[in-house]
Amino acid sequence: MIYLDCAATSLQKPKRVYQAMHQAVKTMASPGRGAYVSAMRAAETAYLCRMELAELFHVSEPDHIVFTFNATHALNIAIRDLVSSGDKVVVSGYEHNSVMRPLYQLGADVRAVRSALFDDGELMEQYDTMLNGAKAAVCTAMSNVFGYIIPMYEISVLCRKKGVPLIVDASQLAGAGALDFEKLGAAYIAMPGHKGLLGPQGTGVLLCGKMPEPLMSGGTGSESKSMMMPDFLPDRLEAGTHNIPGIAGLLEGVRYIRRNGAEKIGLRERKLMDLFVNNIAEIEGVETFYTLDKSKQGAVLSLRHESIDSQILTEALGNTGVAVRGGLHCAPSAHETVGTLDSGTVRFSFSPFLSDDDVRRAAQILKICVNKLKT
Amino acid sequence: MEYHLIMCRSLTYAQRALYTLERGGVNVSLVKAPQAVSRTGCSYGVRVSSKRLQTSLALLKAKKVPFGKVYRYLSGGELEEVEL
Repeated sequence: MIYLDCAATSLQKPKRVYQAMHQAVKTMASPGRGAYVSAMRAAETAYLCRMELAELFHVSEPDHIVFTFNATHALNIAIRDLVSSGDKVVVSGYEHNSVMRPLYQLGADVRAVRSALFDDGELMEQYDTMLNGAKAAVCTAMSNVFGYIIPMYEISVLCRKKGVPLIVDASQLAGAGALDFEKLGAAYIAMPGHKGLLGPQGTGVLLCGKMPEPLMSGGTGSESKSMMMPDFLPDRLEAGTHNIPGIAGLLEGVRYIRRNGAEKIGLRERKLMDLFVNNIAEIEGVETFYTLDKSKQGAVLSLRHESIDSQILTEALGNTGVAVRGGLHCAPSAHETVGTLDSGTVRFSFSPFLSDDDVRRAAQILKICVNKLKT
Repeated sequence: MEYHLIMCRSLTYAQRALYTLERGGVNVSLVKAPQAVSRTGCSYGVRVSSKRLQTSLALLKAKKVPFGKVYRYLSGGELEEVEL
């Protein structure tokens, strides 16, 4: 199988990720619950992971790194802390349902910036106007459908100028591009552990620039006499037993990223995507959503065929050994912005562990599938 | 050898203290604080040699690592609060 669905989950991980998880299951108990060796080993693993993440994302203190179950969990904490019913919230037109659904569930007055794909100028112009009177702003760092790298630093400058707290969904960019929490000055940055950070599913991270209200309450192993959650991080947001095997795997994933460099990994993935695009150029009827400008698109490519249904093409690719995702990718708002809501797209997302040959082979299989399905 | 206990509000704060002091050249161990001095329930702290107490406190203050009360270990294992 050629795995091209890294925007959903990175399937191939560094070997040390598997080894660390195996070791954690065998030897680690729960952090903050005891002082015996296996509990302290778990505590050290969690703390080392916080430190690595703090270094990677330029967070001044490791206690501002909060472990969550996934990016959706992290986004829910952030959104529910800043937004109440009726609040005006400005979002990019490329948000995932992990942002949109919590906002709608809260009854927020959601204003989406509908700007043309890869057009930073139009996007910034609209943010500038729409942010006036907003209670919060949310932007994805990179679209999970089109790979569009949103100008989040420029948006953060605007937000600071207008006094609007910003939440960044870094689900696609974390581990594949530069992300500087201090420079960004966001209220929160949310990300999963299982995509670009190369950790396992069931891990997520919230970088906190403020002290949020907890989404869940429960045991933390601290201030146990109080019936309220502690007023300090990360305990305030980490009720219940930690996913220590997951965190142990995530630690090794993050170490891999730091050894190899997030930006270098992102460029390697982008090079693979460019190779793929060059190899499918001659397939008739295929529309790719692609820009040559590497600063505007990461290694996520959507395409559609003029006469073949996206899901049928996706299924054919899957049956022939190319794992991709078709449809709306849980981001109908992004499709609405670009005009692909009815057709959906077939999404190819690239991993640093793919070879050039894998990519050429995937392009060849796409060609075969298209030829077969259009006749 | 005499020891002091520097209390921290959480495990993560105690870990920050541990790493800060280790990097500053202080031998230190992370401990779960005895119930008698865990005013709010469960607490952690770091145990340092009494000779290095002032250095340790200075390091923690310099690195802005939050800490709480400080206790001296008595011979029977009991703790006596130290006025700073």
